[in-house]
Amino acid sequence: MSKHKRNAIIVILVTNAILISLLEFFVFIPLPIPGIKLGLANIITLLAIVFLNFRYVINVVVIRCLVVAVLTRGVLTLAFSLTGGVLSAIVMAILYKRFRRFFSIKGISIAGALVHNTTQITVAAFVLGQIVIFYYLPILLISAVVTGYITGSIGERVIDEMEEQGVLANR
Amino acid sequence: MDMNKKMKRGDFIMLMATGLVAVGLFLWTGSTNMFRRMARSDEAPLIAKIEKDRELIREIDLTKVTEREQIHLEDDNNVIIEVETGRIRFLNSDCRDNICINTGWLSQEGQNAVCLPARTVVSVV
Repeated sequence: MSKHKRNAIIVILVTNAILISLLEFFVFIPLPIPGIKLGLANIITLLAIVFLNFRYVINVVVIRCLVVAVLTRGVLTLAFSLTGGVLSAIVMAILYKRFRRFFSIKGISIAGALVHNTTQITVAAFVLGQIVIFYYLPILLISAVVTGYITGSIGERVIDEMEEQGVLANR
Repeated sequence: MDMNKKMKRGDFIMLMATGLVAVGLFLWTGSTNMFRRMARSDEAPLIAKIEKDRELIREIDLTKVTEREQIHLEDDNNVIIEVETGRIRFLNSDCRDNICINTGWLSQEGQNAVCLPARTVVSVV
């Protein structure tokens, strides 16, 4: 893949990730558990993992987290969004590049959501100095399976469609 | 489009492991709290702790509270904590999700309410 094409893909993925995150922040999606969100930007991370090398995947995630934090909850929340975003991207990338035989895109997405939620509650435990909040972990794990499945299904369809159309191909 | 995107073996193993961990943690914390509550005598103090930024702000014995009190933390989020006989709750916080307020009254050992934006934890021990 040429450098220019690669950069174009990064820019397209980053802008879409930012837009989706902002949309999710400003448009209220009622979910049964307060504080839980779908994590739609995970779809973009999945696309990045499939179509880009590892370091560019991290670029996409980090730029998205930075911009979204500045535009919404403020840079103080970066400790949460960056750790969760980057760690889940690393795990999903490893699963996709090394263990694709054993995991579907949906499964990889669920794994990412599990890592994301577990990381966030760990950061929260550090910030609050409280172990007790791990009481919430079971709820977070179950919701990660559901949200990961939803974003994974969407991601899988997009990846299929893009491969079929030849968009982003010849990596 | 290829609709034949089946879940694979690794997916199922991961899902089962997640289910086991979630159910295990749930049963463990749930049963610990249940036994503690059963072992408790009625006269035993019910201590509520208010912690902010990892520091203990106040400790209240809920059984000794006689009249309703509102505790203003005077922070960026205007957190107000309300105490009544035997129970405590977040009454106000200017955070976005209001998870702390929606948690409602805490009146039993092992219950807690957290406001992450205000870095405030109320727990009953």
